[in-house]
Amino acid sequence: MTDDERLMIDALREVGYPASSASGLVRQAAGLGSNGASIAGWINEIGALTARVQELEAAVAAVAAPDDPAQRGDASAPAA
Amino acid sequence: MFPLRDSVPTDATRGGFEYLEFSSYQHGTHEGIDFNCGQGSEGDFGTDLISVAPMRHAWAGETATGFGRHTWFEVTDGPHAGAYCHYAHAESLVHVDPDMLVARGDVIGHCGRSGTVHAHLHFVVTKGRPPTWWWYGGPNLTKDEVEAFTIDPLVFCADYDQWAENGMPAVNAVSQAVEPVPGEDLSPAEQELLATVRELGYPASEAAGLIRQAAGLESDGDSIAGWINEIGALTLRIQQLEADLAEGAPVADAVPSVAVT
Repeated sequence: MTDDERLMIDALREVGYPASSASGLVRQAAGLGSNGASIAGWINEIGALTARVQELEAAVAAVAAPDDPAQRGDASAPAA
Repeated sequence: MFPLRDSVPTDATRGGFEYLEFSSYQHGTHEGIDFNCGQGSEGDFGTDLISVAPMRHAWAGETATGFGRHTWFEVTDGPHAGAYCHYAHAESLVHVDPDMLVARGDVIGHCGRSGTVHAHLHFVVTKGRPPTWWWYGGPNLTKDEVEAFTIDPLVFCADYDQWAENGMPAVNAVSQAVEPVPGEDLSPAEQELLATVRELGYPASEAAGLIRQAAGLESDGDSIAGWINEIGALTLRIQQLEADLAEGAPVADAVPSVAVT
């Protein structure tokens, strides 16, 4: 076993990651050419994309009902 | 042999998008072929999905829209060894265990309409990297870019027909576990991990970081696949919404969030 392989096993034990899941994790990551940094990037990307979707959905809703005071946030508008 | 039983060359793509055709559903180049038996959507429902080549199961999952219930396999032998075959919109999948091997001709699932409206098989072959890579650029990729990392499914099928005619080696279609690596103090699961990094050539130093990151997020291999799909779905949703805004006539509620056909 190489030093890097030993460090890998040590990391597995140190963080208490289920050894039975580790092989599948590595296989999936290898298939995507990814590593730990990729995971962090994906999480950030999902957050950014989700925010963008919410922003666009609000804009689409505003276009759909341009004369609806409620869509403009008009506090004086009567309740529907 | 085609990946949808009873589909024939002239009707293989009836009712769907061709390879590299512009797909209005994906807002981009169709990276595979929509196989159809020519029997209409109900006639295709439940038809066998076939392994065209010897393959190793890599991943299976499900999303409410987009690919629906889908799976991909890595081709293990023959003229396109290393490629990946992606089967989408399945009603059911037979082989779900990671690393399970299938032989050419094995039934790997049944045609359905999961994630779409009309039953058909969305079949994609990518070169040496999993189909999820498509999501990294998807609709923004040019036709040439899509062609660069995919194989025409009809060419793929024809190549494997030729390969079989020339006498392909026998394949044992039985699940094969990774050979354990002897270790004086390793559990069987740890031995499997060690064997996996060696088999794949994945740097053990990267694996350590990967495991730490995954542990912090309480995630596993399925989580990774789910994130990639989620990024793809969000990306398509954004493009759809931007198109709606540009047209000034929103139709966002009338179509699925992600549609792949």
